[in-house]
Amino acid sequence: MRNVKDIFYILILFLVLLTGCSTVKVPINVKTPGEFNISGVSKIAIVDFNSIKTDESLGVFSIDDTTKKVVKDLVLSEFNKNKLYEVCDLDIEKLILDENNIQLNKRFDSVLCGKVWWEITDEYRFTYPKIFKLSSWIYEKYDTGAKDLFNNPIYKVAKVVTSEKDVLIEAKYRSVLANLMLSLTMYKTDVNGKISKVVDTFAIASCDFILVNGVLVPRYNQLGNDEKTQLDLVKEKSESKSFFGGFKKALSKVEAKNDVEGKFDVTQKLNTIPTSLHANVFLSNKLVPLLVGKISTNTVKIDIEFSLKDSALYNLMKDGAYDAARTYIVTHLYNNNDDKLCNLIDTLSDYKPLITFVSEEDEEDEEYDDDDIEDFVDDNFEYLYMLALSEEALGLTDQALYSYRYIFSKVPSKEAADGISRCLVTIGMSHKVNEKVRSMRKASKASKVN
Amino acid sequence: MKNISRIVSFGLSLLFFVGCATPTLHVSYLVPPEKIVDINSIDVIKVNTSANLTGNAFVNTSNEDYINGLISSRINARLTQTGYFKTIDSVWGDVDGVSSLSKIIESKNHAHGYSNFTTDSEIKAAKLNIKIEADVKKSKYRKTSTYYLYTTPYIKEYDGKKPISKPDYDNRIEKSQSYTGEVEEIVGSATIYVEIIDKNGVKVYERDFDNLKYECNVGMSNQKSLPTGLNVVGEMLIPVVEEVIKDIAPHKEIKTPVINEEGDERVILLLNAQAFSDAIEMLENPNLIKELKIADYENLALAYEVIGDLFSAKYNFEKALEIDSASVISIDGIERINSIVEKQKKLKEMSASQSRTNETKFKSDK
Repeated sequence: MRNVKDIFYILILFLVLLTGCSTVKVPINVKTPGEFNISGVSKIAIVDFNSIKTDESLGVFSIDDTTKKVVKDLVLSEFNKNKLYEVCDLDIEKLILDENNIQLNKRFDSVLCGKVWWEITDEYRFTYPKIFKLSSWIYEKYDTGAKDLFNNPIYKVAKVVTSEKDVLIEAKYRSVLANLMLSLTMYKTDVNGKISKVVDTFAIASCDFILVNGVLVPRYNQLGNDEKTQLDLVKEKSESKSFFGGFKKALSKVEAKNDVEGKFDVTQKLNTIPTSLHANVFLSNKLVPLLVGKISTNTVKIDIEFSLKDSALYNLMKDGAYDAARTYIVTHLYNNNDDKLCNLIDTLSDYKPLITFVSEEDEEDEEYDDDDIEDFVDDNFEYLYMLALSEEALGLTDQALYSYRYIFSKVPSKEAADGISRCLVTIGMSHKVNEKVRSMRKASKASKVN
Repeated sequence: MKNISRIVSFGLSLLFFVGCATPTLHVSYLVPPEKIVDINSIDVIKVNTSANLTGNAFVNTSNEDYINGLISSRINARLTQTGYFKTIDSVWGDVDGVSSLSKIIESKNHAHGYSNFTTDSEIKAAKLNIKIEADVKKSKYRKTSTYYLYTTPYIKEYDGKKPISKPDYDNRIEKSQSYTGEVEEIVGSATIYVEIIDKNGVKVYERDFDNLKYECNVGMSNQKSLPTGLNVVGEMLIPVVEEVIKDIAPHKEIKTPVINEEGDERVILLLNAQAFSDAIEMLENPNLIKELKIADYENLALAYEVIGDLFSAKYNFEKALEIDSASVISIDGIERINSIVEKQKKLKEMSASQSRTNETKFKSDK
């Protein structure tokens, strides 16, 4: 027990000593085309959920009207966020047409039907054993050895622990389990009103809302996750760090476990068990983007973490000022290195140095070779990598790819390799998204009302 | 001695956290169904379910409805996801269903531009029948565990002039204490029978899933809610649905071949990062890597395998074997590729005669 504690403290100390830098997290957004490449669809009418007469062998989905409406509205809202397809609630559309006395200019060419099933248990109250550490201590006044302005001794007070005792208590927790099953089915309508099925999606998830010592810890679980895509693998690789990533992940798992048990400090936290509606919204917010993302487009966020020593650059990247960061980086490199050498670095060639301080003494005609260029890239890796990352964050994927490839060719690293991979996937995804948009535009022209 | 053991423990812990796992790739191949020979005969399918639930964990009468809905929705969605199937449901292929949908839209009194809605009324479809028998029981019992509690005195010391204290583990007092608490348990068992009758009325698939089990308890060291009876059945069902999909539909088979770590370090970095085209370019460029070692040929083969160029992959594994005919990576690689090529040939023959649905999936994520 004692040795385990020692190892833990040593590891923490090691981590603190070695980092000594500020870690910035840069979000890279990749737009994906969704799973289904749907043709002939541009405007979707969403009907009330659980409203179609269902085949009895498929089961009847029973749920209250408020919950149905909440989920339907979240689906509507998610489609509107993605902005690929037009979606309409027929009631609202009619209201708008009537209020403004206008005619419909485009009819819907598809119908989205949803099925929702919802279950929430009664509150569960249970107990479990917990070992509590109690300490006893004294406060002792001591002479620091220092003297004040009047040559009087300066005293301080130290807390001195005298003993520690383990106590076993019966701790309490409360919890509620909620289950949500959501199915979205899309039917295409041709000009004659003939309906055919286009897409069928389904997801089921549960969440255990556990309340321990005033802290609410939701434990979410989706049943039967989809298989990993190329983008999922790239995201996993990019978000893992070669040394500390594994340690941090392991540590966060330990912390998460501790959170469920509660720290048992005196707390003023007043979390409560969520209401049924609250729990429904929580689960719907997980499942709705998942299913809508399969039909429409989806944005996947990849968080790239990197430790920076330059505090100015850290602040720019942390606040998302990527354009300013690029300017800063280029200026810094030209200020701190020979212009001629900087001009040999391909990734800097697109940027005009904003400020160059070239003193008269530096006018010697220096010759630089490949080794000098490699040394430059190595010495300034932080800046060049941040330059590429800023380009990627700004959506300049082609430029970022070029920058990552250049850095990798001089100083191979996991960060640059991950950057290359991310850019290639982003470019591939954007071709597919464009294909989907073209298909939607074609369908949109066809569904105009003359 | 104590210090040495601390340093060794620290080193081992560090190694653990950094990870000494061999880098692998995640490769997926589209392969034909395990049991169905002719997809054409079942490419349009209707799912029928029936559930019989027993046990004190089920509290209301809509449970069977939920399970039926869960299975049929899950299977319909998974079949659609493969891109090879269309599923009949309560609207498509159901005149009553479309009539119900029409009424709903008409009730909005909205000039939507359609005079009426229709659907294909006579769709020749295969039938997928599923029967579930599940028993889920809840019970309570008391459990006693023993805990070791310590009382540790502290020794006063000084850090310069500042008084501090350190635990005196040598004089620590240990005592054991038992605790008896309540544990609540839920145990489920199920059997599932699945059969498929094709469009011509011939039974083409049949499978029994026996001895499906699930167990969970709460209380003592498990602080959570007890799953409901429906959670338990769902947990048992989902893997069964996946097995059925593998049997009847083209699906992805995942392999994790190992990267040869003796290869060029830059290539290994690129492969680990999933940048396969760049890895290939590097290995194929004599200006970047003058001479390929066996490890480089094997990594090049892997990169080609991941992007789907199995011919080039096999060629490079064979080049590696010319250098070392006993290389396990290359032998396994060729065996793997041969097996995948056979399966994909079968899938191609199957797909060639199938009329695809109008909506096609994006074929590859690579």
